[in-house]
Amino acid sequence: MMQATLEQSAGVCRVRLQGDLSIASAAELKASLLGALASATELQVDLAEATALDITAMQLLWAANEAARRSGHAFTLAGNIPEEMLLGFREAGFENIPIAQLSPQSNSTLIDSNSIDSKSMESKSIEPKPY
Amino acid sequence: MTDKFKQAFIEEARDILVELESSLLELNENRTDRELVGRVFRAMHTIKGSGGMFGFDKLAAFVHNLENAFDEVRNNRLAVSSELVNLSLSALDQIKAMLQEAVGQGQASDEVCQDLTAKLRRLTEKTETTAVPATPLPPVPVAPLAAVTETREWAVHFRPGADLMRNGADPLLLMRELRQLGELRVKASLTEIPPIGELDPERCYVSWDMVLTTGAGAEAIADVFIFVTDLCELTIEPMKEATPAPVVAQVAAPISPVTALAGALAALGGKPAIPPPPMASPSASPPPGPKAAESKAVGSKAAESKPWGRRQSDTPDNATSIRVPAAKLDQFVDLVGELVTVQARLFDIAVRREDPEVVAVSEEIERLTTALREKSIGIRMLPIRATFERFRRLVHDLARDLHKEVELTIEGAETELDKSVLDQLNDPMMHLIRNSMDHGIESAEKRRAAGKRPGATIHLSARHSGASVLISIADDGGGIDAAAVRERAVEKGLVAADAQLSESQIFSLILAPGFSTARQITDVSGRGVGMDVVRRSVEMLRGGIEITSKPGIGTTVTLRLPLTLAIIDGLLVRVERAYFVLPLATTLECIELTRKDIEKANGKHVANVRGEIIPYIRLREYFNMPEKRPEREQIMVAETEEGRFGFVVDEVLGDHQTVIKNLGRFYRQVEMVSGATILGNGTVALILDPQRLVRDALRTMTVGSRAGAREKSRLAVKEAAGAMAASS
Repeated sequence: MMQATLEQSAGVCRVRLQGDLSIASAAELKASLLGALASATELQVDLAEATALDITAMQLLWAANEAARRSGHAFTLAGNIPEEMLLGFREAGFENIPIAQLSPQSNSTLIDSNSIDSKSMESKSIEPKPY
Repeated sequence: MTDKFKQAFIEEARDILVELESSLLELNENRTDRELVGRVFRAMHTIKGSGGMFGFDKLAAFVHNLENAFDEVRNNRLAVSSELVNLSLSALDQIKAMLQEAVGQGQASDEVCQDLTAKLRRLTEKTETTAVPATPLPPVPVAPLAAVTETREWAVHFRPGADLMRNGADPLLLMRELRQLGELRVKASLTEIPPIGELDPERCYVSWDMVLTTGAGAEAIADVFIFVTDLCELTIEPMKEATPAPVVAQVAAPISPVTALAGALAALGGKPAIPPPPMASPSASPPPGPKAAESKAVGSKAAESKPWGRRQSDTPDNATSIRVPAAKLDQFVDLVGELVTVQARLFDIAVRREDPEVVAVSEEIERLTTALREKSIGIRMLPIRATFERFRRLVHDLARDLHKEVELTIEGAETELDKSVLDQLNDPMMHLIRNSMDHGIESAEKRRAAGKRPGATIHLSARHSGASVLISIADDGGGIDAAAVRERAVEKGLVAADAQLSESQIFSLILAPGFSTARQITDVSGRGVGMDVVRRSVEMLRGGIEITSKPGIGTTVTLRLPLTLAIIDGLLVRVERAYFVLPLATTLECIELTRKDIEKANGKHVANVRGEIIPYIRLREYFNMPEKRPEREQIMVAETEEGRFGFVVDEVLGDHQTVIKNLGRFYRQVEMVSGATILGNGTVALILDPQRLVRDALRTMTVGSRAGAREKSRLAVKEAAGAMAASS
């Protein structure tokens, strides 16, 4: 199970996430991130002690990043991100999340979006259906 | 939450196993049927994939070996053999045991697991040394692409639906599985992720465009997503710069006519044209004539854009059906039953008050409640197919053990029966089939000697007949030796040596307790308990058994069962101030009994009905009610196993369709009452079971010394009636 700890100091909120960040804890993670966004101008998410990361967590982190950017706040993934988490981000194709700690060698394995023929992509994607 | 998913997986896996079993047995008979191989493989793949997803790692690892074996079959590297089929069937049993273990029932043996794994490995390893089967299997439309060795690039667009993650699926794991097929490049589209405040944390908003470089085919790629096809949008198509069209066409699985049509229109530049033939199978030759080239182009175009997402699954009704716990359904039916009762009371009051407006409303409600009741009973109806199909395995295993060749044929599997009836049908049917296999069907040598086909047949059939369903189990074996049955019955003291018995009466002796004509007890049957059990279970279902048999030609056992146990068609009768319901199914006629008739019979409890002497039971006397017999009484004549019997009542009020209510645990020992119902005026009427009533009356009323026993059961009945009245 995930555990989230919020540490506040002078406008900086550090969200320490421990354990498995999965769908089971997604609602909790969302609440923590919303709380942090509301209380600080700089958001640092610490994944050093996270053990697993799924899509729900990734999209929440991305959404938090977007929210911070829109309101002119800073958002960083702080701490030493375990290799496994980095692999997860890469596997999911999340190349755009601003992760300062993503080392150059890990960045190089991310796919270049231009390598996929954009035309062929368009032709095969079907009209999104409303869910 | 996780437990809910696990439970859902276990239930789903059980369903898949049932299908898998019948597919395997079918495959055993049609060993070159590629579609069956594909079906088996996909079923195994689903169990493995979803098992792994929900943390059944041991199970997934075990199924993996099985899946591998069938992958080899799919790729023509391994032929379907009896060894493989039997091994797979044993593996299915092991999977079942593992699932049972997961819900805390029993324990799956690890040794068996290892043993099976080792055997499967040996079987698949063999294929690497032995050559491909001498006669290659014929090419089939759904041929998997694995045969194509060259690698190519596939564009995969994957867009999870709103509930994909909530259902326990994980896109990351799916992509990890794709990576096992080849090199995967991934691009996530994050544009649909809403602002964090509006984001549903359990929904996946990300969709992916991926490029997979692999030697595997579209089928294999789609297999990765097999468990989530209903929960996502998925397109798999070859990249444009890849190998030219002909290969693609060969590769493609059946194409939906709509896509084919869309492709056709595109190819023809939007000009309205003759619709191309549906590209059901790429191996189908293009129609001759000038259109040939054109339609071929259409075909390949269509093949390139086959939509894999939301594709038609093997069981299309799955997507539109929901699972409901049986208990909830029972509660629903119960409530509808209450509604029917209340409606009857309303109608009663309306008529008494002579208020036409209320009567009109009450009639409208009656129409609705009747429809509601019929629908609610209909919900519980299930086709008998699953019950029938389950016996394929039994027949297969028994045939192997008994060294007989037996084929199982099924007819009328779509016939629907109440779920509770179906649930209780398994055991009696199993006994009957075992009996047929063991005693009915002769050995192949014997059959040949008798000029019959060496392969015997057991035919299961179901059909409707009025408010009942007839289920018959017919074999083409040696038939029942009526003389031997009679001899044995006399030996056992079941009938007198000089009794005059019709053939059907003789056959029904087989159903008596402790009767068996089998001289030796085998593992399969012959202990003389089977048929007795069958009779009792069928009686519990308010059904009957009929046996017909012709020496040398075969035996047919027919079970007549009510469509549902929740409702009974009965006749409402009255004795004093007590109401009873007699089942209409067993009631033959209703005749008058006057004092004069009683005098004529010299006080004996018999009536002369058109020359036939029929004994009767006076319910007034049986239930110990005050002796104030009216001038005219009515005898309800009913057919029972002990012959025709009459039940004397004060008045017959008419037919009455009732929702049966159980009397509850306390009155379980009261056998002659099968339940109770509440009448429109709120009175309780007990539903009598003529069969048991007669049996009890014969036991207690004729032997004076057992009057105590009778007293006891009478008291219980009275008490039951009192309790029901009090609770209503």
